[in-house]
Amino acid sequence: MGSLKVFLTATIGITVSVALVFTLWFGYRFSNQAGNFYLKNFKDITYLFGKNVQYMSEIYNNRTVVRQVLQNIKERLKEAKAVYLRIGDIEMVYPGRYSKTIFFPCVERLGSAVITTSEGILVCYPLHEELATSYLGKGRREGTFAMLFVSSAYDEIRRLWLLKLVFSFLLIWGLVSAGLWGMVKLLNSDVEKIKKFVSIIERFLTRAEFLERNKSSLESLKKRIGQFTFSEFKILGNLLVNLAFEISTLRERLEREAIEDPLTGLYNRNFLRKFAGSLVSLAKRERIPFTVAVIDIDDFKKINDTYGHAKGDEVLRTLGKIIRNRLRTSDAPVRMGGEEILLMFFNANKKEASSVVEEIKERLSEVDFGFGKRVTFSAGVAGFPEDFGQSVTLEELVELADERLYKAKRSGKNRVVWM
Amino acid sequence: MGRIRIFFLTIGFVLISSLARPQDVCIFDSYGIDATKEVLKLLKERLKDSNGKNCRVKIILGTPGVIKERAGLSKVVYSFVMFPELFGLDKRKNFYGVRIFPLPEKTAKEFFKTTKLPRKKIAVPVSRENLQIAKLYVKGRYFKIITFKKDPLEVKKELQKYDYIYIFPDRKLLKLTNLLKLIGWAKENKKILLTGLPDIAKFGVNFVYGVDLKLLAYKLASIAENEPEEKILPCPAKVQKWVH
Repeated sequence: MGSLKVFLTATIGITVSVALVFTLWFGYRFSNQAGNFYLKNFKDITYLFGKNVQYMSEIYNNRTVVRQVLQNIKERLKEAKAVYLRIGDIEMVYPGRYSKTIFFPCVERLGSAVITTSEGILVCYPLHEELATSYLGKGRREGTFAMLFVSSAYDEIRRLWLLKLVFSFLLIWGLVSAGLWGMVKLLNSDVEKIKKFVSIIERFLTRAEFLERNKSSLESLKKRIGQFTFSEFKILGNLLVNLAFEISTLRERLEREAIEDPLTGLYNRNFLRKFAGSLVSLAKRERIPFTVAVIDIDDFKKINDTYGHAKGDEVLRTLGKIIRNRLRTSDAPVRMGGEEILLMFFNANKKEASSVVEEIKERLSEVDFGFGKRVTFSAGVAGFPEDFGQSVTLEELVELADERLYKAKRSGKNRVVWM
Repeated sequence: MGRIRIFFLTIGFVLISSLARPQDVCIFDSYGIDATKEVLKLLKERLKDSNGKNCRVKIILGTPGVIKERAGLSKVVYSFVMFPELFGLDKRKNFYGVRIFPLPEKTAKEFFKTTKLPRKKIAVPVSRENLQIAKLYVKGRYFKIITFKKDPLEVKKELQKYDYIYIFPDRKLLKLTNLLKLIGWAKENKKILLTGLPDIAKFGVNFVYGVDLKLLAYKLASIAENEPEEKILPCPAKVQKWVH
């Protein structure tokens, strides 16, 4: 099956065509029936006048009276062209200009008949004797009465019926078709909108950065759902937009979880692998100062062993929170593993970075973890271009910071070494 | 040998007895008027109609059916034939009929017997074309046939001389307009109208001695079952109306 529009258009086209053919056929048949009904009226009129003339001729048995009756009939009916009577020895036509031969087919007929002639519609009615008793059987034929009607009246009634019928049906079918066509247009407009929705959402799903940049346009799509005509399409549009939103949220979450440490909320080693190298290259290329600090919590193993891993996790979580609150958004804190944390400062020299690390250390030591002893950490700081000249890698910086960390540990812990 | 002969005799007896069924009757109504329909119904109640198959006896109602009938071996019983003698039915073999109207003489006798009116001559207006038929049926000392050409009132001077007028089954006389004209004139002139046709009672005829349809059906059934003594049986009639 093709598109909905093609299907509906074809269906309406076929329906209207069939209806039109049916209308013409029905109209033709019905106009014929109307014509037949008109002919039946001619027959009934002829029968009534025939009986009237028969009785009059029997009662008065006078040619003048009979002629007057025929004249009255002709003049009373404007559709009648001529009237004919043959009964007993009387045979006459009114008006006299019409030849008796026109009525000859009636004389030959046994029963009543309607005959179309070149002169018009000839209606024949055989006159039978009217007997007072049924015991003598049927009355014998004793004459003929006939009327010649103008055929234009019959043709006109058929033509009018046909015209009226066809016009009425065309009007009805025209309205129905217009309604159906309007419905198709509305339906098609909704289908087009859905297509647009689908294409936008497809782009969302295939291009991740597009999703990030065009979340607002997804919002505007949601607003455009109100423009649908049919509620079913509104539901479908809503579903598509909600699905796209859901997918984008899930993707964001997945991407974040891939580079984030769930305990501390700091970045993990994946982040370091994916982005840190390029960040350092950028700093080098643009000659931006870049400093790293390696932090290691003092006696963390002892805390874990003495107060349990839950307490150790609490310490790490608190430290992560302090770091996140203190660092700028351009800085990047990474949990390297265990209790070791790497801080990367962009556009900051060693002194500035060390003061931030000192401040973090101070805030951590102010936290009471409930075991009567302050938690501290030691840190080593290395910077570019202060510690290295033209060229350095992140690994070289971290290695130097690590050396200084051990120096701090050896010097009694709870300190930051950056020289 | 004796046993075989008895066996064949038994078979033969069974075959012959199966052929000897009661006479099958076919009933045909060629008129289709109310009176024939009633007689048909009464006959079907009394006789088994074999619907045109294996007819040994045919009962035909109405002149058209009787005229067409070519009698073979079957017996034809008919009625509703106004003048059977005209068609020679009284001479046809196996044809038996019942008159549908009482002969005028019988009607006159019943009239005088019932009404106790003075026994005077009865005028019988008859069209010229039916005069010969009238002469065949209107017999006896009571009647005087008066002929007319088209309209019975052509002879009203003649009719005026009589107190009683008998309506004979003459087509011209029984044309509705003619009959109504005659009855109208008779009422004005205090004439008494009598007839043997029951269905013209409604037009104002004073005395009607007409056919009794129940008796007619009974008579037809009897003829179908038995051999009648006469070829044409009289009409089983009764006085149906007397108004003065």
